[in-house]
Amino acid sequence: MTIYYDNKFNQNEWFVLTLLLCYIIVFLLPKRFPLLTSLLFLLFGISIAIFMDHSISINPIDFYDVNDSSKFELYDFLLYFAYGPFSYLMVYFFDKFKLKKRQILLYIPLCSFAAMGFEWLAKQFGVFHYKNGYQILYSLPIYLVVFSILFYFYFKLYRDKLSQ
Amino acid sequence: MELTLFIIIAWIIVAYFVSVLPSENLIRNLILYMVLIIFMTSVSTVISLDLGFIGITTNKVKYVAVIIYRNIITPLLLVIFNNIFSELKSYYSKIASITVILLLLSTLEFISLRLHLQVYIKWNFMLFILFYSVSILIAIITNKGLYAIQLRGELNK
Repeated sequence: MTIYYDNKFNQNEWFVLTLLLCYIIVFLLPKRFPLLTSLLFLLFGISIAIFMDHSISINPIDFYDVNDSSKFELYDFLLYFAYGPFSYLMVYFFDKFKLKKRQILLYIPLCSFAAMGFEWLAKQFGVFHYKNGYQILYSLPIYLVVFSILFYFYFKLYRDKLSQ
Repeated sequence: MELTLFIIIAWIIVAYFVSVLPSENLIRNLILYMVLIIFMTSVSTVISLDLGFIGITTNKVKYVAVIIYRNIITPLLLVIFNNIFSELKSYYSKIASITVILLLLSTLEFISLRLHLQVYIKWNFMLFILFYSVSILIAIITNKGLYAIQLRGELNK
């Protein structure tokens, strides 16, 4: 059964469109990585968001709905594209500030808490609607694992190659 | 049983991806995998959730097998196919490779239907072949584009 939360163009759509503006930051920042590597970091956020959302937010698990209804809509799709700049910028600033490998132990949890804060904000704007007992705290282990994979790629495909 | 079977299939494919495919193509292959995830998962959700053409199992254990099948097995199979396809020279061998991958995907789909992981409501095997033909086309075009970017990057070094 489809649940409808609202059917107007309002705060959740504006929230998604505002997030998409982060692509401007990505393009304005000075280039740090080769084009394919940058593309990988951008697509990582988008594909993981789609991978996870389309696994745990549909029946039979169905932990939450995104945007106006439980159906998959255009703004849901646009929301996933808004994750791209975040994964890119996380790696970008880690690289820019020349943080050491062991500092990842602090950096990943910090980014995970920031992501949780952002998720909370998105919930306030009506982007996420939790169901079946889901709580924002459950997102923390997901962020920790996902960001760890992202930084595994960063070290394996970029930083370790540079140091060789 | 369903979950075990799909975990074994996924393990074989991931093991092949990690150990056999050349590591210098790893970034290209990962990007291709991500592009396929974005396309295939979004279209699958529209077909099953929005249009109701395919019914997905309500059994949670079987559902994990569906996720492994949809998000790991099929996109990785297409990435492996693409690596083989790009090495082939003759037109006939390329056609043969497309036929083989479609047969392989059809077999997996047949198994998933027999094990009741999903059920066709307003869907059929012709539409399934059409969906995967489009996915293969997207994979080939993306791979060519990524190869061109990689080549340009190496030339600029």
